[in-house]
Amino acid sequence: MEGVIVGTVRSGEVPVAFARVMVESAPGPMPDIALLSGPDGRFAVDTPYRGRYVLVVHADEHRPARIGVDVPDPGRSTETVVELPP
Amino acid sequence: MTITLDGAVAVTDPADETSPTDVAVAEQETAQAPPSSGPESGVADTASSGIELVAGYSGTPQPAGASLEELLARDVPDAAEATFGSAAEGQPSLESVIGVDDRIRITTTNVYPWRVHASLLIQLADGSYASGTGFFIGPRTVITAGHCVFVQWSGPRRGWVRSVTVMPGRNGSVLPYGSVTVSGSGIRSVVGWTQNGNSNWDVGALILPTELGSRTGWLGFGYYSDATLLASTANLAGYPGDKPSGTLWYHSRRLLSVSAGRIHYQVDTFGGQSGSAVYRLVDGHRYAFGIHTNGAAPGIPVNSGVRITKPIFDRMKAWKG
Repeated sequence: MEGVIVGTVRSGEVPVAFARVMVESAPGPMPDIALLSGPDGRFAVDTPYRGRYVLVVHADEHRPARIGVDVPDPGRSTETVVELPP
Repeated sequence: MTITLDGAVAVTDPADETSPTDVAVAEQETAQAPPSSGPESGVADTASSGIELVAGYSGTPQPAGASLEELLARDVPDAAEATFGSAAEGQPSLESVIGVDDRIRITTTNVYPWRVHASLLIQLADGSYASGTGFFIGPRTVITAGHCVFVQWSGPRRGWVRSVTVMPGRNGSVLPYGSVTVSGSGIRSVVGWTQNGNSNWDVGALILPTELGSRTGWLGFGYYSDATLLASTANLAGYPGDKPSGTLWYHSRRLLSVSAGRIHYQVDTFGGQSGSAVYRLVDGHRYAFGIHTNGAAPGIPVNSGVRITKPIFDRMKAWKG
């Protein structure tokens, strides 16, 4: 059973749409695809493995962010927030 | 036999019955499908050393003596870590740049071969979006990674994507060839990926409703012996997500290793470059021998892609029509 990291990309209180959310490292091989945040800044990254995921988030006109998320149970949803510096 | 799943098509062919260990390419066995620069003017020169001739780019030297086995023993940082530095656990680390990011941006994206590479905007089954890369191999045919057209993970995104918008030669907000959106039966893969999820078959295709590739031209493609591949420089251009939106970046390095169904290399890539051609230059002509699919992973400090084997070559020829 695979889980998911669900998150929001925002800058201050403003959600950032079409930010590119990428998995920099994961406990196993991951596809080299970039997920895009929605108009509400929401995104979801599937987590097929137990362990630590490092996400890198880029958006035009923002500095990038990098955040680590521990997934103790790959079958569950893990919530996070990615704050982009302006 | 053609199987329709959620409006898209998976094609079954003899290769579907083949296990990964059965797809080894016999030594010396080689076949190629030719490239075309298209009718439009503008063709880039090529360097004699097997890399593209790009102002300001001289190629990245292979680490001395580096083999895949040695790299596995070194704990080499992945491309993102080299770019951002090692972040403290859970803490963004944005300012430090370790190592040299020598990927080079291509701004002449309306010149062959750069115009054959396409930025892909993918709408997944749940309505969310992702980005990837593809490349033309014929007037109507764009090749990409299988996971750009069929998502293997569980949950609401699993299955065929809703649509893929193809933007060849994209340069930021400039689309020199416009865009074409493909859905339904225009989206193809093979059952080795859609049913088995086997990374050796992580290949997909987009069959366009127009002959846009006749304007852009296309890459040749082929399958080659291990020895030929290991003597080749891997060239890779795509649309990485860590660069300004929709910009095309190029890098090259010698191939590190090959297996029956995969190729491994230290060409720098980032999320968004799935589906990029991994290609070699032969007498100034460009032939894809792989499709980029994965970044580095723990214990595997190299990037990797699908090797174009004979069954995949045959399928690509069929998709080319």
